Amino acid sequence: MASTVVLGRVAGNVHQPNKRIFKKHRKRTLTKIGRAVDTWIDGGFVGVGYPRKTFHSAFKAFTTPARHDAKRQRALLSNWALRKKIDGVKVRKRHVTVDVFAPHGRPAGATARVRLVFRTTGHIHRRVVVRGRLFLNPTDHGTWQIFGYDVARGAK
Amino acid sequence: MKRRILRVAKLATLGVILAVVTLTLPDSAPKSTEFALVKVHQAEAANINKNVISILAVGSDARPGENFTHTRGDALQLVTINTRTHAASIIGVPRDSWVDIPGHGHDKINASLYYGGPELMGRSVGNLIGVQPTYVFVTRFQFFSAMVRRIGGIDIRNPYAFSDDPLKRVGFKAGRIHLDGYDAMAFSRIRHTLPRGDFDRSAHQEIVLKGIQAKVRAHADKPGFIEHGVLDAMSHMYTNLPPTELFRLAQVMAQVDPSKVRSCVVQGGIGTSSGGASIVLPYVAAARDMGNQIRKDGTLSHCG
Repeated sequence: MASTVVLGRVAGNVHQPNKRIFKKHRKRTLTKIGRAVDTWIDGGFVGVGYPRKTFHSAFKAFTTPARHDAKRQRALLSNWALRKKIDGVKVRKRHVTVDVFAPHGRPAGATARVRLVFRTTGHIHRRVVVRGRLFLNPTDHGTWQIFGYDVARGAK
Repeated sequence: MKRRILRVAKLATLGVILAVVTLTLPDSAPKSTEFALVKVHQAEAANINKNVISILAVGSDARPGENFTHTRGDALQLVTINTRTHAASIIGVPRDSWVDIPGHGHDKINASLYYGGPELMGRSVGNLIGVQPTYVFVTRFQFFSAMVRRIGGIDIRNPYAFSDDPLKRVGFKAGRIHLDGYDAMAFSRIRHTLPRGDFDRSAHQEIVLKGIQAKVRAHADKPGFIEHGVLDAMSHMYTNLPPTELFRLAQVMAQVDPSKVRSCVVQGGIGTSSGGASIVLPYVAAARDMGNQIRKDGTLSHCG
């Protein structure tokens, strides 16, 4: 199940011809950003089987420096602490709002505001909320990469 | 009656023209250039921690009509940021520091901007501290005011009360105060009435920079704040950076934790040049010590 991805604020598409240019990029940009964000959400939380040992695919869409940082903060950015104590998760909400920086209508950066809510099953029954922002840039290959994040996680 | 109809028609035509111009004007079309942000190519980048980026912030004293990237640099602050820990440091350099400017001999360090623009300014400060900046950011004071005004002013803690007749007669109270655009400029420029002149002024500039960063950080999670901020900056900026890098840089700066920012000012003795000008003879060993600290992880544990 992919996240619901919606467009938030856009900087750079108010006037013509930028508006027209951005319209061409809009759908593809949201799809690609959604794909990068979902790689993290699926690989780190809800798209993998439990119990498990690692989350090796969670940070595939991160830049190399961001991936190194994320691995150091795996307790925050994945289900690391629960990985051996649960046997599954049930997604309640996975929503992504994307603010785009698009000078002259061409997307050059984005902030993905993420809200993920899921319940764990197994030895530990918990409602986990992951929310925050991921910062993304387009790559030369046409994909988007996460170069930074500001994420919080809560559970009860 | 005919004349009235004509007047209404003229107004309507003008309205339509204005509307068309407004609608067709690109969002980030260049307006007046208020800032310059230049990436400086550096040979010694490998010696610096990969998670550390450094930006030299320069306040130019250019008068209207002068090229602000080729006048004297009045405020000189080297900002280093650790992108992993979100810690930062600011090293202030007194503008009258007497140094060897590459290719121009000994002169006040702020003349580097006049001789060779942002690149040479960066090299001179880099040679003094021992760490070359990755980026050089230049603005003039009046635009600095506008920049602070755009973010709604800043809140700072002023260590002691001071005033200055031409710039701020009523002065600044000690303690927690709010600075609007003009006040931030005055707070950063006043020098004559400060106990330690240029050194204290440099420390004040660091306080203002911290205030700006804290304000940006506090608003960074507002939807579209960074995106619109960068676009607005771009429309007033000369830069050799691609938009993707500008966006990344803005996010990195906005992520700095204000509680992890430490600042120092390069100290020195007071002297006189052969031409009779008052100069600062910087304590180079102490400046290099600061450079060695920031080279490791971008932070300062002490002021050299």
